[in-house]
Amino acid sequence: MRVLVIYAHPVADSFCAALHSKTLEALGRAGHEVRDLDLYAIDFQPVLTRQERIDYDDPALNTRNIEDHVAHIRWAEALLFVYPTWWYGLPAILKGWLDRVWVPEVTFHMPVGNQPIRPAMTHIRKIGGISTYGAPWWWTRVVGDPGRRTLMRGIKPLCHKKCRTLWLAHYKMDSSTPVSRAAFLEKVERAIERF
Amino acid sequence: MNVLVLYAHPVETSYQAALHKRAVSALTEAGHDVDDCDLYAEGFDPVLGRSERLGYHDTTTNTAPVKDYVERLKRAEALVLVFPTWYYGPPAILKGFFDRVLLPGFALRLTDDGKVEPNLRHIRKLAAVVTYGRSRLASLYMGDPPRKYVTRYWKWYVRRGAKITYLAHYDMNRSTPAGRERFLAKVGRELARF
Repeated sequence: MRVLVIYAHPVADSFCAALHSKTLEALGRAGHEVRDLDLYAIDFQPVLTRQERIDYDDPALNTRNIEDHVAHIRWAEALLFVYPTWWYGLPAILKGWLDRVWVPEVTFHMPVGNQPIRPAMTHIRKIGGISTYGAPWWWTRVVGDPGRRTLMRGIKPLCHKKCRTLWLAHYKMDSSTPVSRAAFLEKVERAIERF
Repeated sequence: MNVLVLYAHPVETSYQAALHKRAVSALTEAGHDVDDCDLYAEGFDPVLGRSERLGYHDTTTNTAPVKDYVERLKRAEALVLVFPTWYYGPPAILKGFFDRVLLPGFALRLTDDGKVEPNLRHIRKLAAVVTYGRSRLASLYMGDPPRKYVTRYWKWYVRRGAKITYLAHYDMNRSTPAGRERFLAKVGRELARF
């Protein structure tokens, strides 16, 4: 499968970076074709600009500054996000990747009249997320887990009808232990080998 | 009251800009001292960088890169957020404000046993003016992140029992001029008696 990995963490020796490397290794071993999009490494600029907002609904103009990213999305059969959950959501650099790159006609078709939004990424059959949380899982549920829902519930309807999802999370990072982190790394490895 | 308005939209002729203008004028006319923070106009950089991440938990230095914003939040007795919903959440520029400015030692305290306690108790009123492309129902299925960010997450930081006013205009993709006008008027009314 062609897997686009979208990764967002600024520190090279962080736990999230370890999850990212483990993910790439496991995907490689499983024989997938992988493109690795490291948003911090490419210094992705996440702020949708004034002109981009004005051109947003115009398919002739709305991909002008993001051609590479659009090509990645069109190439992919699976999307795999690896990021830390900050304030219950996506780090701004990743949120902005959705704001700027997921434009109409690339990822969805704008509604006409009373129709709902229609999917434009029907070539994507699997989406996954690997994330770390400071909060415990129950409080994450109370706040509604915006990061996970944005990706799992928000993106899924834009993909293939039978698109499957995978979600792997390590909660309470602030009180995590070497043992809990190693166990999670192993879990990620096993799950991604079967991705 | 000192009111900090956090606003995030890049286009000055947008409906969101009109909401922002109405919110600020209603607050000013009501006699509040308004600090109008237009994140786009101020060129706020929302990306939490490597050195900030590394220094994140050092409460003696972590606020230095965002000192001005920290000071403005400290002065605020009320907070008003004005933003559109993009991809089910606040625009990156506002999400990054949370990432970079709501720091340990300032916005929250980490206790010795790993617990987290809120630290913005000086804010005693909270309001949000939010637009959505989707319907209320579709947003609900998504968990309505903007609403939860305000009514559960921000609520946790500020004074217990703080008044929360959440003003939302859903279904913008199919909104009408009359509907937009009504919502503008509502925003003016609600914030005039904020």
